[in-house]
Amino acid sequence: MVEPITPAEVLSRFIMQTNWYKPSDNCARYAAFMPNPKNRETSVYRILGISDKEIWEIGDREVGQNRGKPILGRADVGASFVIKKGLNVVPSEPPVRHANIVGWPEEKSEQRLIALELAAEAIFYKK
Amino acid sequence: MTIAMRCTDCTTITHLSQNGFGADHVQLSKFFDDIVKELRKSITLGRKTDVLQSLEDLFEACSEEGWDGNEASPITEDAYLEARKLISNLPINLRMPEVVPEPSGEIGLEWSKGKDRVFIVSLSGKNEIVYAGLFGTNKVHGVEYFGDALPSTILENLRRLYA
Repeated sequence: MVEPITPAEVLSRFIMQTNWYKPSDNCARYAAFMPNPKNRETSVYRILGISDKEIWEIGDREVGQNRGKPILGRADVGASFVIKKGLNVVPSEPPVRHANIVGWPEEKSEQRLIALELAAEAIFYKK
Repeated sequence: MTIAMRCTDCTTITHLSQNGFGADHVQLSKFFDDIVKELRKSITLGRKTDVLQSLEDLFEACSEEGWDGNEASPITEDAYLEARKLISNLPINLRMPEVVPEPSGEIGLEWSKGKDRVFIVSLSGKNEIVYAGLFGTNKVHGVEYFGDALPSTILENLRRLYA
């Protein structure tokens, strides 16, 4: 059975668009956290307790290869921060460790403000 | 009496007369064009031109469904034209934004001054500007009608960002 997500966990959002991160400030842009327009979910991976190498392997195998695009970086954010913003994180396996950020507000400007806050809080790692 | 006549092919700061031929003229024309290109880049107009070019590149790259390798909606021509209009309407004393494709098919324009001082507007081609901003611990978000001129709320937030 998949364990529910705890606030202590860290979530990784893999980035494949060059204009979804800022090399000058070494941080992710808000658009990287915007939800999928079809289901209003943001796909993330639970990375607590695994090595940096394993995290990139998950990104390459489960995201990059599936979408036919290379992983350019990742933005890590605490689940507690996501929850504090009124969103929720739900496990969604397979693939292993996959989860979705759900509960995005309907209002477009509010969605973008939350995405800005997530991007500001996240730590960006360039691959 | 002297009659003033309009010169249609005179050399100006951005136009070299076409009265010439041969390899030297071709080389001179190219040299002149390079100078004009550099001159344009060095002034505000040049920065605006660069952003408009980035916008065009983004529109080309993201006009098909799934451009993000997932389920992103295509960037529409209406959104592209509206973003173009907004950039063209920006006062010359303001910094130029970065263009950002959004998975919803809208175009974002982002101004930032550090990680937690960011202001964005989002355009869908429906005569509205969706905006959001982080100014340290303060935040704003909302929607403004976008007709012919840039709404004052947008300009005030941009000035606030760089104050």
